Amino acid sequence: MKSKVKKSSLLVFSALTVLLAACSGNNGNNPATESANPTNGNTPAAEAPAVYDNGLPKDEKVTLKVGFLEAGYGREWFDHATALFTERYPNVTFDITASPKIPDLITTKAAAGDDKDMFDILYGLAYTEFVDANKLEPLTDIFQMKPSDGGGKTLDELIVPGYNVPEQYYKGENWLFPIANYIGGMFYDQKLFEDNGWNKSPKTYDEFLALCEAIMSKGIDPIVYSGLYNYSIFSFDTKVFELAIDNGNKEFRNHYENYSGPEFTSAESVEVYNRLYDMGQKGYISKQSVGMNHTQSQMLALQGKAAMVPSGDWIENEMKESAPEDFEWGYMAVPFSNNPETPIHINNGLSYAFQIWANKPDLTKQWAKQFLVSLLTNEVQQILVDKGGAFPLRSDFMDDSARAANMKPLQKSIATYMSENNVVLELKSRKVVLNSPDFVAANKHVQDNTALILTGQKEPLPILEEGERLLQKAVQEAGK
Amino acid sequence: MKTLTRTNIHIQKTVFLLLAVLPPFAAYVLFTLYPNVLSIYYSFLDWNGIGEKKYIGLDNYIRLFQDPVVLNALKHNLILVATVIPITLIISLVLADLLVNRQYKENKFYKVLFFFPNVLSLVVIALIWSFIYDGTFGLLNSVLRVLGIGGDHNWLGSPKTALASTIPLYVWCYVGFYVVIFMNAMSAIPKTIYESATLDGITSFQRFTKITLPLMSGIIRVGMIFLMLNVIKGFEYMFIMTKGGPGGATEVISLYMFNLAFGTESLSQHFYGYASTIGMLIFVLLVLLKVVIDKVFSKDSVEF
Repeated sequence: MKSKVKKSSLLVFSALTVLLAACSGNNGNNPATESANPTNGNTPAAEAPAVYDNGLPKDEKVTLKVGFLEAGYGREWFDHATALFTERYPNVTFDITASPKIPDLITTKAAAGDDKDMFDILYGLAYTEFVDANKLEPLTDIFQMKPSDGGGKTLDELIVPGYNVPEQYYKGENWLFPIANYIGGMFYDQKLFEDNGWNKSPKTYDEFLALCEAIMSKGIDPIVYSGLYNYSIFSFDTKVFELAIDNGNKEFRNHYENYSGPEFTSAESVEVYNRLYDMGQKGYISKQSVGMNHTQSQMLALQGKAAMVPSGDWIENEMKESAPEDFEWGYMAVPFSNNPETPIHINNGLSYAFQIWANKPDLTKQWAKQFLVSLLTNEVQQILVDKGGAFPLRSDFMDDSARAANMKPLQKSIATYMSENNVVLELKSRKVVLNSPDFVAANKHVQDNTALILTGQKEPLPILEEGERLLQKAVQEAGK
Repeated sequence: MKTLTRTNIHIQKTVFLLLAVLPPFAAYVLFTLYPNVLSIYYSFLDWNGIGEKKYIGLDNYIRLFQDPVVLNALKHNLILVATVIPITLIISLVLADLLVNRQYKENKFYKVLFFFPNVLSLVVIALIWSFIYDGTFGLLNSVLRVLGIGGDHNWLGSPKTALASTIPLYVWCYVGFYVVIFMNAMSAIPKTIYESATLDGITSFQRFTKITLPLMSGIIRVGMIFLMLNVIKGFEYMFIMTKGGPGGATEVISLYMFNLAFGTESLSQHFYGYASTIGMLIFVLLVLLKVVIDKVFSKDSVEF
């Protein structure tokens, strides 16, 4: 069994602190303004050294080829970021290929085996196959680099915890450069909730069911979601952890991280699916969800035909062209415990990350790393927050009151929710990676049927049992 | 003028033939035969398309015959073959006959109208039909509501209707193409045959079934083979409209193969080796169906 990977579960409390700061305004700290780059070309040409302060040559032109995922955050922020970088380092330019289907293009290029044709910097959240094939550049050293506005601190010290944890490295290295993390949950129309006096922050599972009932009594679908892309995960994927706390199951996380216990048929998982099935049967989750993509489901929330839609914090940016001018998104997470002491586990994780292709000229890779570090300056983070609607990854981002004040309404709603509730940001990390057709078949079987379970059309247990059978085959195969 | 000797003529002919045949043959070998032969090799590998290739003998083939998704997908493919092909051919033949023999003033317009889906991109077609079937705002439900017979069914979201809902889409896409093909074939049938039959008192229906259909059997058989190829190899509409769901209700074999090779949004693992094995299954299936079509439908050619 390949041991390792990713971020294990972690309570990213500092992110919460960051968000709280957004609500409370300036906490008195001085803003971490980015220092003027000492190598920005202001020095008279006659005295200019042949290299920048970062040690890279000024006179060697480099074009960084970027495979960019154009999705919920858009690409405007990235165009700004590259323009800023080229302004500071005029010898570095960018050749950007942006597409919502960039992962397919990257896979095809990788299969073709032509390293020259491959992007230097590429979008990607999955990396084990590339790492196993020695195709990726380790990025562990980047986290020891110092952004120009970091006051001498390393990147590792400046980003929110959870994204550079040595115990979670794959094959001893970090391969992902985090750009943005997401907060998943339920998103709703603030005005619709206010007009109807609905509970914007249910504290227990029963309160949430009461909310659904109240919404349904008004002839509105309480929940609609993209069944085509299984967006239900953004609201319900972490609920097993709440039930494990309620059940006093202290081994649950260990089993989860290592695939050492039942996964789909654990008591917690069965209970979550049973509850969702019941919600579907009661009509709380619209049957129309099954064949819908995320845009269709989110449009229904915009039009007031459905009250809540599971998604991520990018929803505000993603739907900005369609939303009426006065529309304001609100946020809540779904509590699955009836014990108010049990923290509500919010789905949290990387929503955007870059990788660097290994077989590239050293100079290209060095500039690629410099560029990635520049993306985590607060100046670029500000652009990402403004133009992309993402949450910042810099933990000192909110030290500047102006930046806190500029948070978008949805980001403020999320911050408010988190400040008023007992929450945990759940990364759902694993320490073991499974990679086999049986593993894919197990997940495919459950995912393919999830929409039917959630809409009350199919009993969950037979689906979960078959998924478990396939999963255990994958676990056994990996253990050989 | 110098007279060409027999040898020279022979050389010229040979050179011409080689020039005419070699480039397309080379392209065929390079872009069709070679990748297909490679697929046979890949089908014996455990390979993700990126890393090291590992020879695993017949493991992929054993998995193939134990994989319930393959069986489910093949069942759906066969349902589509059994429905889309006859419906498309019947509608195409009837429309072609009407346009050729009725000589409507609007014939040209109808031809363009029927052919129209063929100039649309697959994505546009899939989106159009997604909106037709949309459970909330869909055209079909709106019509049903006006007629007072339901109107709230989620056509693509219900396992009972999802696959059946894709059949009209396939038929709509293919009919126009075959109308044009069949119209040309019908136009080539000598009018004298119809005239003498008319003098013998033949009805329109008899004319169609006793003269037109038999004289077009060759082109109909070819149409059937092409339709079969399209229906079994195609997965684009399912990919865009349903992703094979709900609950695998619209899973087709090519979609499964594609997802294994290139991964999905939620599972980005790749299995080129196993996907190639499925490719081999599709190849065998297509050959078998071609043989069946050739056996069932006579190859006798008709001269007129």
